[in-house]
Amino acid sequence: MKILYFALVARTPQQGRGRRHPAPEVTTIANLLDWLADHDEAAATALEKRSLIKAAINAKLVQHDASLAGAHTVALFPP
Amino acid sequence: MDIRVTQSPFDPGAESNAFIARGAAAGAAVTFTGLVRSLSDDPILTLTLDCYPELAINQLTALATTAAERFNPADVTIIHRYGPMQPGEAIVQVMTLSAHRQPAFDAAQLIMDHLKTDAPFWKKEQTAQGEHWVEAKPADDKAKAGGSSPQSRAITAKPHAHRLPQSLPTHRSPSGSDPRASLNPAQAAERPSGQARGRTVVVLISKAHPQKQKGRASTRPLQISMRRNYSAAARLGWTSAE
Repeated sequence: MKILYFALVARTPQQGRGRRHPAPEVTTIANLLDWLADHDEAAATALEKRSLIKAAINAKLVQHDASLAGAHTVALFPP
Repeated sequence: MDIRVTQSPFDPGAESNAFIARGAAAGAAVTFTGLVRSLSDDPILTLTLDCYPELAINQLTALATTAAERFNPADVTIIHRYGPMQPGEAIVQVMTLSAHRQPAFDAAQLIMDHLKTDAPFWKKEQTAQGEHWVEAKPADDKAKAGGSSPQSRAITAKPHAHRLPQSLPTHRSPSGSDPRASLNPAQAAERPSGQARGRTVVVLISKAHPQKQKGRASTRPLQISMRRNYSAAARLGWTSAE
């Protein structure tokens, strides 16, 4: 799964783009935000205001409870 | 419909001329151009727009489609840049063509009000003191929710979002019938007779042009009339509750 970070959420250049392979139990955007924060210190800082983060799956805006099924690209960004 | 998200500079005048040339049957063209601003007391060196182009195209296309469905313009073009830009350069251009001016104005207004909040662009300003991200403005959310123009408010505001002086007989249509008659029972129960409500406001304002109201019982044409007469209403002090 390709994960894209934009603007304030992309605090470091290497964090801007990347492929990640979340655990199988990560099934929603909310799960993914938690998982990224647990597995990446930079992401934990960037995603600390979790509720404000917006997300898109395959270039379509989604809510945090959206399923990751079929997601090949997830984008995370500020309002 | 033409939606472009590009890093390349564009010529606003040339784009406008080309757009107008496509609409021989149109009687009105509206163009809005957003520019990189640099204030004399707080100058910027560069404005950089970060962007997710694929999402931006999808969002702008959805916006243009919504505007087309509501106002039926003959054509819509949105051009939005991203990447580094200098003060004075064009960031965005929204152009609408229509047979008459009001749909062209309304479509452009709706697109700009929603573009500021719905499109995935993020501003980073570089100044002599360094660089910083520009946070989303509450005013942009307000513009989206209520419309920054009278026309947008009239279209998007909820029925109870307007108020009138209580002394005015606002609860009767020109024909004297209760305007709630056009509502279903649940809606009518929410709108007690005599209480100023959005659709009641519409009826009163439309009295300025009684000839246009003859034989119109539904609320839909009256809404259109309110939009056209909103400036007159504003002069009378009938303001939005927002």
